[in-house]
Amino acid sequence: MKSFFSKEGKSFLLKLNAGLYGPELFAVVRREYPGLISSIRKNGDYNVLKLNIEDNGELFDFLNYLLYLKQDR
Amino acid sequence: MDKIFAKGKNFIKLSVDTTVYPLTAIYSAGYVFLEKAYLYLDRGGKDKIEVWLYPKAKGSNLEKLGMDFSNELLNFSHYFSSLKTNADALKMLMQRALFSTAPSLAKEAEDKEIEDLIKELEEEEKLESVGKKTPKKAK
Repeated sequence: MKSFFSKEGKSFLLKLNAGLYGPELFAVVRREYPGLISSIRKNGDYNVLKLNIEDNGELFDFLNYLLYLKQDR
Repeated sequence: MDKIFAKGKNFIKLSVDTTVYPLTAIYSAGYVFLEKAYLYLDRGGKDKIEVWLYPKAKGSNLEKLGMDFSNELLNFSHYFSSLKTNADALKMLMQRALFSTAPSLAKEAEDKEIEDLIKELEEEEKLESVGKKTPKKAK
């Protein structure tokens, strides 16, 4: 089964559908947690985020944080 | 028939039809599940959203988690469709509630209604008088 994330050195790459996770969320993350997103690369209908996080646990916390932002705003 | 659930080692994936469940219901159900599971959303083809659920508690029953999520989807879909259906009734109730707490607003609304009615009648009268003044064509 395809995976939506991968590890690259000390970072994680996370693939997010642009229609479901909009850029407004990334703007909030950048404001609240500067340095967490080190880059965003557009790839078709997806944004590939390079995240400065250490492990899978933090990655999943980040995913839930995005959904929280989506719904709470 | 399409498969609705797909189970992995530590997650369950649901395929949700957006023509049945609106996107807002998917986000809302996801929000409710933030405490129970980690969630990832993806497009799964035309009119389909994939919801990946990773339970936070070890040894969780994945099928039960998936089915609970489906119930939550139905719950929110019903809520949003009822909200749409009852929007006019709600608007009217809110207006009445506001007017009852502030009688001056009711008076204002009433005055405005009377004013509009008078204007309408005056315009009708004007149109009638113009019609009378117009000379009939000589035969």
